[in-house]
Amino acid sequence: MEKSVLPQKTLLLWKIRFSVPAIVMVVLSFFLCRFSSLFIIVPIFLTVLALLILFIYIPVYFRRYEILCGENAVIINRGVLIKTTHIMPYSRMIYAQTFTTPLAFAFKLSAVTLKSARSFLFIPEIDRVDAESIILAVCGEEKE
Amino acid sequence: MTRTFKAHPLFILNLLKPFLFVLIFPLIKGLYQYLRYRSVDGILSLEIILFAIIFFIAFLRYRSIKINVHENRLSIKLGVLFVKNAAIKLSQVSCVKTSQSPLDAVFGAVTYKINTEAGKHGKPDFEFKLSRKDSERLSVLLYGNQGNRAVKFSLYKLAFLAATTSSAFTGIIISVPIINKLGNLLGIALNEMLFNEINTASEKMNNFFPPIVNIVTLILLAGYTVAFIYSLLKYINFRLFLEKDRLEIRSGFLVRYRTAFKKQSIKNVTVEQTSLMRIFKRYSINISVGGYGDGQKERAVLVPCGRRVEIKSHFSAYFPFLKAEGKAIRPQRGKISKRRFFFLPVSYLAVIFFVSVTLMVKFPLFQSLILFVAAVTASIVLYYTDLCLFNYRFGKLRFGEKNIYAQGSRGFNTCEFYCPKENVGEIKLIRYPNDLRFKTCKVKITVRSEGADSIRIKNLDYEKTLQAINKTFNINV
Repeated sequence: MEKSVLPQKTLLLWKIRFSVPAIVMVVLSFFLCRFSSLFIIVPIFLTVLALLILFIYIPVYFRRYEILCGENAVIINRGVLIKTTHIMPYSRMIYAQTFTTPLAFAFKLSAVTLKSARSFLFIPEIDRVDAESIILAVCGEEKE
Repeated sequence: MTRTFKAHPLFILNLLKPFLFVLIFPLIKGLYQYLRYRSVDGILSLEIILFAIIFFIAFLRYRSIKINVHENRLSIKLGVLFVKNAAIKLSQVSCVKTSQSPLDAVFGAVTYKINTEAGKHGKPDFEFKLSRKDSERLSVLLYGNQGNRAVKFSLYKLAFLAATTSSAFTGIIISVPIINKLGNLLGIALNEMLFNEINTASEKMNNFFPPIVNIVTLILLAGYTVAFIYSLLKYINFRLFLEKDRLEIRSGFLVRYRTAFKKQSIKNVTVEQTSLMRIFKRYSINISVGGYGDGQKERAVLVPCGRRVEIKSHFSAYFPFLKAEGKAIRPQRGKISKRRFFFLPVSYLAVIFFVSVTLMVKFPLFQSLILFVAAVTASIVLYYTDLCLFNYRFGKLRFGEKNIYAQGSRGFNTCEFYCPKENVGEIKLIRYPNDLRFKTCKVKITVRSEGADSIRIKNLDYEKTLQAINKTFNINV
């Protein structure tokens, strides 16, 4: 069974994605402190939480993210506190779709969604070339 | 060889549709005011800027759509900044639906909907506009050449189907937003005007029942008429094209629909009778195709209306591979079993009787209204009683080597359900305390699909059913 992990660029991408709204929220909460010193707890709590997520949760989540491409199914193992295994047999797969945001495009990454009836399997951003290979493989074709 | 198709420019209008009432119509109204009176409010300039931005985004999205058909797969690319690129095996495309509105016809465009079993329920997986020629070419690439054997149905049969499947509530749901939006656009209280008209008409009707009953009846009648007209316009020109592996349905008058299925995409077939069809002893054949349709269910009408013999001959001609096979499991015969089927309707009738009598004694001024409501509810329950009798007499389940067949009621319709074994997603055996006592169960069969079709059969022998399921699906317990 072929095992893949997510590239380092994906980690960076998600760190950026998380950092922007986190910074906005922290700044806004610091702004609230001007009205009452009681509000100081909120920005401190948010800052600590954001740092924990940014430097511990996200790196651990992406390090533990495993994509296993077997003969009959794609298996995804993920999770930090709650671990999830998602198995999707190839026979149940209907189509694959890549999704690229402007930031992901700059990093040459693409997210992949594998769709089956009533369910889907989401793979966070991987190299665009790999994403294209996956969607071709789902359609039973080799990359030219 | 790869063939590429691009969207029709009219698709820009589709993308602008959500802004039609909030931006485009007020803009047109404002421009008209400016041209006529040489004066407008300050909002117009903002609207023009917003319109220009939205139009520019819509234009870019229209330009970004690219449909590539390769030897075995179809790839669809859309989006400018947020780019989606989907790849679908051609064998996984379950159905293709095209519709042409009068505006589309003027510009030679067609709305093209591609469906698979995956994707969001009730929404087509991919929807865009193509030129008519491109849509025909794409359909040929996806499904091969269209069939020549057309089966036509008379207007009488189509009107019958529309009359027996229309509901007043559907008509109300269709007309209320149109009336509201039209009223807002024209700047008149259209809904109030209509309500006043109905009020005046109901006051003129002198009968035993109070005016509120007349008002409700008139609203329901108007709703039913709207639903009937809508349904008739949808089914008019109904034609069925048959090929060895493919079926194509064409219908519509103002908006023309064309739907192509591969026979292998058909999940299950049902022979149904609505309440009105039961009175006239007519049936219709419906098919359920994975991913098809914009509504709750994935059903399409295949044969709109016919007598039992006609329907049977249509069924055996189109679906010889779905023949019912295996030994039938039926509810037990006898007084106790019959009583169990009638327990609920009789209880409902008793409740209606006692509640209405109590209310009539407590509120003598509202006697006629209570009597009307009780009569309507009782007639619905009486119809339900008839359905229970149908379930007792004809309810059955057959597990064959290849197919599963079930007969029973579904909502207010009776239904014969044919499904290939491999399309069954779930079989549920439900046992209430009474079932445990009589060693019976209720069986629910659900099809494996996006908007799965299902059927329930009541009071079947639990052991027999379980054995049949284990044998059919090779389950060793």
